[in-house]
Amino acid sequence: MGLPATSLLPSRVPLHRTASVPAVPSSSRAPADVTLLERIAAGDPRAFEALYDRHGGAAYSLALHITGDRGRAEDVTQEAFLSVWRSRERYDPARGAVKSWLLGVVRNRSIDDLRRHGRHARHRASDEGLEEYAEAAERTDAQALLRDDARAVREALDGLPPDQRAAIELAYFGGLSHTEIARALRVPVGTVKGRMRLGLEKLRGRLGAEREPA
Amino acid sequence: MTTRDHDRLAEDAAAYVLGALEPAERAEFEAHLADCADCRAEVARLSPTVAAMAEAVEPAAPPASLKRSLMAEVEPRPKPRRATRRFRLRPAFAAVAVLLLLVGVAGFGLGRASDGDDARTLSVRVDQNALPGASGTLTVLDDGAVLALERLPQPPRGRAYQAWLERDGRIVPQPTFRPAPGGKGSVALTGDLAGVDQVLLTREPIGGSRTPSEQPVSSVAL
Repeated sequence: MGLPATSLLPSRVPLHRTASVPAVPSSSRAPADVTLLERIAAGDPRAFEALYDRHGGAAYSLALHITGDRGRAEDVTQEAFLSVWRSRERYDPARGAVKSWLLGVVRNRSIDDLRRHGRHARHRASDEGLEEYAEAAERTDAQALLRDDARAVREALDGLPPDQRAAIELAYFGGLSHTEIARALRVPVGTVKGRMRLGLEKLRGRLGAEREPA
Repeated sequence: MTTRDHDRLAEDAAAYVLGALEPAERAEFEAHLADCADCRAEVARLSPTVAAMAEAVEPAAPPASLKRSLMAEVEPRPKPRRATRRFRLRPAFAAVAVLLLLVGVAGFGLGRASDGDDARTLSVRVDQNALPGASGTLTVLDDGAVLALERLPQPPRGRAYQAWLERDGRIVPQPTFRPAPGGKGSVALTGDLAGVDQVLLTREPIGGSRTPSEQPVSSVAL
């Protein structure tokens, strides 16, 4: 499934993490993501490096979550960033935050990888140790905030009725279509679509409620 | 586009933003989006929630080698080549997997075919000492499978469940997942399962491992 997941984001993203927490600028003078993309389009390696430093962790984490394999997560993340560098993936500001767009690219490539490599599983050894999980060594306050936000989303997901959560996660992280999910869970297609609707709606409500201004 | 078409397609907005429509349905939905402001607004309303999910996965630190190879592409210079190797089934792990298959545990059922459609559902064997009361099924689809378990205990702090495929003695990592509070957990194993001898489940550090770090707590033979 080639997939649009975040391909039609609104220009204003009221619930989005990056809307409330700037995407980890190391100082208040750090260039905006959009500025970095403009400089990348002009071939500036330093802008590319800055974009990677800012979002590489989230991209890799998502790829790892979907592919379940560090070597493949590395490959997917690398492909995604290089496609940005080579301007093969075009960012449209009308579609939302740069980070959401970038993660949409990573999600779609991860699902493609899952489908491709499910057939001929192979593994690449990484030079890096296997045990260095999570928890980046350097943390900024912004990153800590992002983690809190991520925890809130995970808790909201955990709080969904299991059937709704399964439908949502199998689709988004598993790359399964609603008909595949219906077959797997042995329920009608309409039921799966209904669970997706209700689940997303609840998730949206919970995240929105937490972000209402006091 | 009739009103009835709109009503039918509007139902698909959630599946669309989750990337869950079949290709033909997606094409139809996107064609409809082009001339339907209501559906565009609905997609725009739901998209940030899906984007938030993308950012909510367990954080993992990318290896430094990733940035090195990216920057090497951007600023051309000789690229380091990485070795390729295959994982081998550890003897102890194999022995335990075999043992798990041989030792009957209460609640085990052998694989049974589902009724009629092209999906095939198999019962999962569960180590009742490690996961008391848990049970599950593996549904094999045309292009992948779904492992669905119930009454799974929450994994220890910092750990998640990870599925594995065993094919010709090689163990292939699959995604990790954490069960919902009620103990339901499911994970998609995508790809052709041809040649896969069994699907295994272990508890691994969050983010997953490349080789199992414990004896499988559940398995299903194909």
